[in-house]
Amino acid sequence: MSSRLASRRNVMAAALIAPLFLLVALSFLAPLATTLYRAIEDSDFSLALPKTSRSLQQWDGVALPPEEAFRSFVEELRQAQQDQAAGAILNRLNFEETGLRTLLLQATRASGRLAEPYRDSMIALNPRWGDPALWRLFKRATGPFTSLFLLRSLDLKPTDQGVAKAAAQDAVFLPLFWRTFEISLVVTILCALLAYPVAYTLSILPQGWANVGMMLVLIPFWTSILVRTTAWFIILQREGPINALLMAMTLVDQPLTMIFTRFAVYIAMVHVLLPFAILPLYSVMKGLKPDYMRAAASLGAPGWKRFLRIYLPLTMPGVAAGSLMVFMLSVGFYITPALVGGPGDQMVSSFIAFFTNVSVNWGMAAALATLLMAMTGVLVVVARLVVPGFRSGGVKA
Amino acid sequence: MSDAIIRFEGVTKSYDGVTQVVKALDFSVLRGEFVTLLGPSGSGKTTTLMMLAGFEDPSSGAIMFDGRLLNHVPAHQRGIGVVFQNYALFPHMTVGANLAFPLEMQGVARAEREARVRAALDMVKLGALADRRPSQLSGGQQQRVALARALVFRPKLVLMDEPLGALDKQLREHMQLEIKHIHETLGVTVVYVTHDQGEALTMSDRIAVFHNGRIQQLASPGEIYERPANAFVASFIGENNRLDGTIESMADGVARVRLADGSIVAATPGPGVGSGARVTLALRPEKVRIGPDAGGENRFEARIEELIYYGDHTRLRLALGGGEDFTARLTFKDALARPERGDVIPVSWRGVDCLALAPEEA
Ligand SMILES: Nc1ncnc2c1ncn2[C@@H]1O[C@H](COP(=O)(O)OP(=O)(O)OP(=O)(O)O)[C@@H](O)[C@H]1O
Ligand SMILES: [Mg+2]
Repeated sequence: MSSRLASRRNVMAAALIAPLFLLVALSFLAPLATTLYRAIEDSDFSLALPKTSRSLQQWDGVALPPEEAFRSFVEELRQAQQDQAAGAILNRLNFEETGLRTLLLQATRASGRLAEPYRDSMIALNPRWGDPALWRLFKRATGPFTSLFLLRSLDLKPTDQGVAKAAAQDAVFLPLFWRTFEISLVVTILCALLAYPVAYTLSILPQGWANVGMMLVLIPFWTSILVRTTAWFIILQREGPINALLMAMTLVDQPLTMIFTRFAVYIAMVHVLLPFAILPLYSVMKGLKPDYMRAAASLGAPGWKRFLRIYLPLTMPGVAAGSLMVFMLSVGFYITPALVGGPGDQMVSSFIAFFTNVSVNWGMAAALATLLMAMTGVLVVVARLVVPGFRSGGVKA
Repeated sequence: MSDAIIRFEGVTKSYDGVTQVVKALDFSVLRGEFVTLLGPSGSGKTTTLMMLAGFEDPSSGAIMFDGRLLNHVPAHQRGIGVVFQNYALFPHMTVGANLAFPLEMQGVARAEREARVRAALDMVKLGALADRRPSQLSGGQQQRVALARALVFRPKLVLMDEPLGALDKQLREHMQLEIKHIHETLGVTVVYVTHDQGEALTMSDRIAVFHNGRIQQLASPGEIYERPANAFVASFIGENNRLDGTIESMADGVARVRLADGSIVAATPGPGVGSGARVTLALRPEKVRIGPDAGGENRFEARIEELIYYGDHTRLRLALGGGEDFTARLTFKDALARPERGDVIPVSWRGVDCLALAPEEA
């Protein structure tokens, strides 16, 4: 009886949290899972050329594939051309090896004229069709999963023998990740350094002035990132107010180049993200009892030692919380570098946007997003282990 | 032992420039003395202590410490140990590091530092806990660490602001004795703040009773208890019956006081009261005698309003002198057998046990 009551209670409780759980699942877990899946999923080839896929999957991959595979290939190419469905597969294969688009287009256009035996006529059309390595590449593209996108995101590529370095012109992603983390780290450090004195000042001001100061911090915070970035765009231009002022003061005799530089990216990102560093620090500082500093003074510590030995360590959790927030947000920044940075200042997100919007390569977009998330996660875990005060639980009275 | 280590000269303090929370403090503390500041909440005890420690500046007046004007000496140069009510142990340091902190600030060499930290921990019986964090200690243990930290750098003066306030009754009583023993062993001067009169009476050499920012009386516990200087002290320390009246005449150190109902009581005049003055009579319940031949020149008939049984005695609430909450204690020695509510009984007390004191200022 009572156990039935208890289990009814459990059901009730589960029912009550179910909407919340569903919301989290739908809005967070599902997109995440989709992204992870997109990064490894590979079905373009097998959807467009199903029979060819089956033959290639049965092929041992040593010599050339059997005539049957060639026949299906030509027939299905012909069909795809009629259905105008060849685009996806051209993109997919050309991404793996530049030049395949031309080769395939040639075969597609010729597919109506090709006659049996297809193997020989294809090789006659272009001798590359006699290369088993090409067919092995096709066999790898039959899915259902591929490591291609993840490897390419790390400037590697799958080959017959395993994994190799990607071609030089494709090897852009590791430097991109590196640059993303470098920019994020610099922004995080700048934010922490600027936020500390601001938060401290706010925490010791009398309540009225503290409220005014808090408004000054929060008003930009409530303004759209786009608006704030555009403001920096205007301020930093060659003909912008800063250059005008510098010229008027004859400090420089020609306008400084500030827009489209790394400097502009730092300044705009720090400005956008500073409140995220200030707010947690302010709350930690505000909550710190004056007794600690008084105790340190009574024990003979002069002001700067009180700061270094007591105040700084006790406010470190605030620095850590703010920095973590700023770093996580920086890593995903897109608009600001895109607007005020140069080509060498773009971050991973802009490539994700490129692969989603421009080249419609969902696999690459998903792979970059997945790796960015994984690397950020690893960095945060490492930071928690090595940076003092990061494990905020350790420093509570 | 007889020279003053602290001297307050006309010290006042106002936080807002309008209300003075401490008014014209003039007192001194002798070297090696244990002085307690006792008073109700908001009476200015903590403020006085904060000025001494250097966390607040006096609005006027001078504070002398060891013959030196202390007013503008920053807190970290005063060399005064402080035990805070919430201990204020540094949560990011171990117990050992907390204790070593003041020694580091003094530049004590490492080896000696360690020895002194160990000695201080042994003194408070926490030798084994040097590597713990404060958050891993019980309240009582944290209290001991705070005590050890305030003493380890050998200050001449230690200030304690309700250091036992957060402990339960039993632990508090135990720590009272321990602090007292440490004070006796080290010979350090202690200024101690509490609003627990029992604590003040058991621990102190002298007690300063604070009320409304003024010291009402600064004297030994015995004197405070036996000869309170005014009606506030009398009512704040221990239990007292209070009867309001006017002094009719004074002769040979005896005041004749007329009560509200017209009856006359013989009493001992307190400081600063004279003929014609309005006074409050203060009489401790244990000094009230019960029974027809109990002796004592002030004799009254009183009706019992209420009996409250306490085990070793019974407390009687009596109607007397126009009031209804005159308290007396009935012990087994008293001749009266089983009194009942509504009985009228004879009570009496001696003039020397009854003080005529200046009434409380409004
Ligand atoms: N920082 C401050 N700013 C303004 N007023 C204060 C400040 N600190 C204390 N006061 C006021 O000064 C008066 C005396 O306070 P104080 O802390 O000295 O009392 P206390 O005797 O220690 O009381 P308690 O037993 O409650 O600790 C109180 O009325 C209090 O409101
Ligand atoms: Mg206080």
